[in-house]
Amino acid sequence: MPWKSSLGRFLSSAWLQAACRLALGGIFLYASLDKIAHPRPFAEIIANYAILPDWLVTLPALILPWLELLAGLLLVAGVWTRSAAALLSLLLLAFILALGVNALRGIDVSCGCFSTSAEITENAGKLILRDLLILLPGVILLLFGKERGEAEIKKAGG
Amino acid sequence: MRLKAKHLLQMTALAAAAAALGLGANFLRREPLPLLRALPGAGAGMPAIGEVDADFVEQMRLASGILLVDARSSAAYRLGRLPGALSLPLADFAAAYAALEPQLRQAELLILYCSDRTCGDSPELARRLWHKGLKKLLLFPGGMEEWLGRGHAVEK
Repeated sequence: MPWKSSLGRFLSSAWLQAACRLALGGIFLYASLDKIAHPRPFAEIIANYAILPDWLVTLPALILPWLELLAGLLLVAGVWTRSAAALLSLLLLAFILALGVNALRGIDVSCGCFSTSAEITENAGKLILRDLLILLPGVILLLFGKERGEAEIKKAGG
Repeated sequence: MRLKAKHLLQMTALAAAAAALGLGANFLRREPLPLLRALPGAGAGMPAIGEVDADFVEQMRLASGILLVDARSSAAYRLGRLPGALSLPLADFAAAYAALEPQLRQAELLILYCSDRTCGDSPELARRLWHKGLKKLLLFPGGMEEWLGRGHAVEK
């Protein structure tokens, strides 16, 4: 099927892979900053999701933003690309799950996605859609990305 | 997706580095967050909600802009309620809220109640309404039991 191979070529093309790295990495890099600066409001937002027990909310509030920052930096730099993309995709899946749970409960929580303002509550459906959209470059990187070593081995093997 | 041991190792290293940075930065903060304990003063961003008793509700219930909101099941609501109260059962929150939202938003003050001091429905309702941006709330924790005990009129 020629369309399939040309789609595969498109998805694994160097420029699309680079665009996905920069998009996913950049988004998380940006998202981490406000939360690193303001862990307490972020912890309150996590508490508002009403998923974790109260004694457990400060750990993710302190650690998650740094994870976003580190993985974002690595992606933008093109180092450890697959691991960073896998980590951020896992995070996105967890966020989607958390938003989904509260959408089913009928609670519009403050997202805590890009800012730590608890005043803004948003529609969970829209947020899930946005997260799925952000997940897309992650999936493209994971499924169609080639790490340097692999590309060379493939060439060598003909 | 070809995630190899190398990638899992890298992901673990990343998580460990993030944990070290996050906990380290917290340690250096002037007011560090407590670890493995609830946030101090955590109404989770929500201030404590004022509480009122049956006599206050009786005096205020006819004032303009005040709405009484019943958090109990619709069956309990039908059996008897505070006069003029709206039914917003927690079990059916999403649908009931959607139907009542315009009225709730127009009110200047919502007084929430459920059956008695032990029922958790009205505090939970307060939490949800607060997160919907409805922040002018009062709790009537004595609820239906106190209302009846004080001999006030019940609507059926």
